[in-house]
Amino acid sequence: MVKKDERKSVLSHDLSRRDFLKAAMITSAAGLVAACSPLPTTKPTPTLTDTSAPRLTDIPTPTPAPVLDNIPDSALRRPEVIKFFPDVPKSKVVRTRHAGVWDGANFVPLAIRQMLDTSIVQLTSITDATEAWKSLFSPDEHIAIKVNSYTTHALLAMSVCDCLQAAGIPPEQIFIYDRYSNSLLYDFLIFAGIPKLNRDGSGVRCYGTNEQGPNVRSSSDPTDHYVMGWRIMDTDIGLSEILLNNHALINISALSTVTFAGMGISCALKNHFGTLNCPSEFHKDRFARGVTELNALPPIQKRSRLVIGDILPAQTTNYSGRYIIGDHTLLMSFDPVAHDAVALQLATEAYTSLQLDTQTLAAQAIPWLEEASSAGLGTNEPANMEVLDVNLF
Amino acid sequence: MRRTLCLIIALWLAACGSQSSAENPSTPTPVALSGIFPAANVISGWSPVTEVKVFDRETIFELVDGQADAFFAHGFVQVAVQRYKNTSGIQVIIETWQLATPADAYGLFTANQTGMAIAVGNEGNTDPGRRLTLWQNCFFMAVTASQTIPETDLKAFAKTMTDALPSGGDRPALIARLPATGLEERRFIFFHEEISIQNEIWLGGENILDLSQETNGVVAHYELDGAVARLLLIQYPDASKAAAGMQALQAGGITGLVAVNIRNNMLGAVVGKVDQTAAEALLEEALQK
Repeated sequence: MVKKDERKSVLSHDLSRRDFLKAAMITSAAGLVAACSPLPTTKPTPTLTDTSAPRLTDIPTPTPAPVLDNIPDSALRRPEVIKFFPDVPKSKVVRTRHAGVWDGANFVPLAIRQMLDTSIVQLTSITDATEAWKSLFSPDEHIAIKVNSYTTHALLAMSVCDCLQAAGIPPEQIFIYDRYSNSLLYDFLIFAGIPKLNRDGSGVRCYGTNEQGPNVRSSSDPTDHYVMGWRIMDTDIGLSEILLNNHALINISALSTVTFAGMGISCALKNHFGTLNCPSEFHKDRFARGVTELNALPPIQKRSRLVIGDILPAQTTNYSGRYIIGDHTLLMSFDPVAHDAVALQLATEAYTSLQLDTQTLAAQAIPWLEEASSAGLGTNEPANMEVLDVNLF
Repeated sequence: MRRTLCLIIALWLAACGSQSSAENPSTPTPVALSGIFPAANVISGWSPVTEVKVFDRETIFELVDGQADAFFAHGFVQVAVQRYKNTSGIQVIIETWQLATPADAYGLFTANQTGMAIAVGNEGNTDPGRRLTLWQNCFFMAVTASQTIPETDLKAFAKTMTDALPSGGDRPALIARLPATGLEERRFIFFHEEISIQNEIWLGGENILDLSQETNGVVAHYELDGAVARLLLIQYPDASKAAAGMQALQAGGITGLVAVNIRNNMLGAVVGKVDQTAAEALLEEALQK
């Protein structure tokens, strides 16, 4: 037999299937090839605010803003700074790697904040990080942060909240959400040491569109907070009330491979399957068109301000054939399609390193990337992308 | 002790299809798994965080985020999940999966081999101090820690659980066909359906080999003259299906297909950028066994 240590291995760490693989180390960044475009010279790292630790609930506002009710699309704005293909010749995707983002199994909060601020500076071309965040979000807006409670790291979302607060957004106007409160509680917050949800109290709000689940699946469940009124393909769908009650949207997804579901990878575009009420209607043969039409819905498209990819795990890990891709890396873009195209490239690199068959990823993911690109959601053409590589630490 | 013995007898009677549900005689009866998880301080310093959660074929979607089909392919019956915490705040999660047969449990185990072998259950695998998986009878179990903990604690969780589960279960006979020379350690997957090997061999996204719960298969990594090859073996219910499988494979335009052959009801193939003579020799050895 050939000994396992003669090749790169996949190690599995951390807690739960979701958090299973959120630590450790492999996958050399040197192997990351920026196939999308030549790499430009990166700009100077911005001055960092001292953020000794993320804070979800400290800095409460004396009079918390009320939760708003179903903001009409006509009341939404698109900041000038948001530009991507075809509005400009190339969509920017910032790929920031920080080898020091982990201290053993623990995150280094300052490193995450440094990655976020560096990325936002690169993306916006505004040299001061706080001003860059301010260019995207204003203090009178309510901001939804869609996470994937299975795989997004809570501390990353909390660091984004810190950035928003530093830009003047009151914490009570920031809403972290996913499908289920319970999954947020158990798979997102609890691992960050914050075992509580916050629907209307002081500090950043965090809860699910469904207050009960898992195990509550009825569409008539009174704790479901979906608003019906849209249609994808031939199916009437509802969208999360949390999304609709906010002016702006930050999409924070993790990157995993989902070949068993026929999608290749799951990242930013797929993340909104946690925003609609019936994701299982759009799997397999219905995925490419379903995910495209979902992301093209005005309530999502008009609110979208920023896409962040959590590829922070120190190594790629395997959970029963699902690979959660990790390489101390953060992706950031305005263009969700370009973001996912670069994510596919990272997943392919990881598969190559692990001697897995990369054909599967390409064959499954490229059709929906092309469909999303054709629908005008962004670009998956390398010639239309500018991938900015930043290495910190 | 008496309680444990009664529990084992009850699980043994119910496990692995020895009884079937009235609604569907082919579906193994889910056993009561909640009772097998250790109570507070059975493992010194560790206490449950929540109640045991059990997910069945209707609710597994909420646990595995769209991955349910991958577990159905391994004969999924149910999974029970319990979380523990110690005084330092480190957490451990235990997943106990009941599959239809011991072969299914073994298959799920092989899909999760990421560390080194450890003697626990029928077979175990560990990333020391962080994760331990094992299979026993028709059960697959994963014990995972949020941070590094003493390996003795991981083993204690596993031992307590395996003591409460019925013993027994043999490796599928097909595994014995894998030639030892060149086989990468713990780098093979036992499977029934195509969905289980998509990360290993791309077959065009279609079930061209007519794989189903009626077929047993294994895909294994080999090192042949410094290059990586994948050996695929599929055991069909009869020889005619194996012959049809070979035709489909040859006509399928599979990238890197170097060698393919059949022997009775067994189809074999080698895929990779490897020397054809070496690939054919590997395949012949596997088919001859």
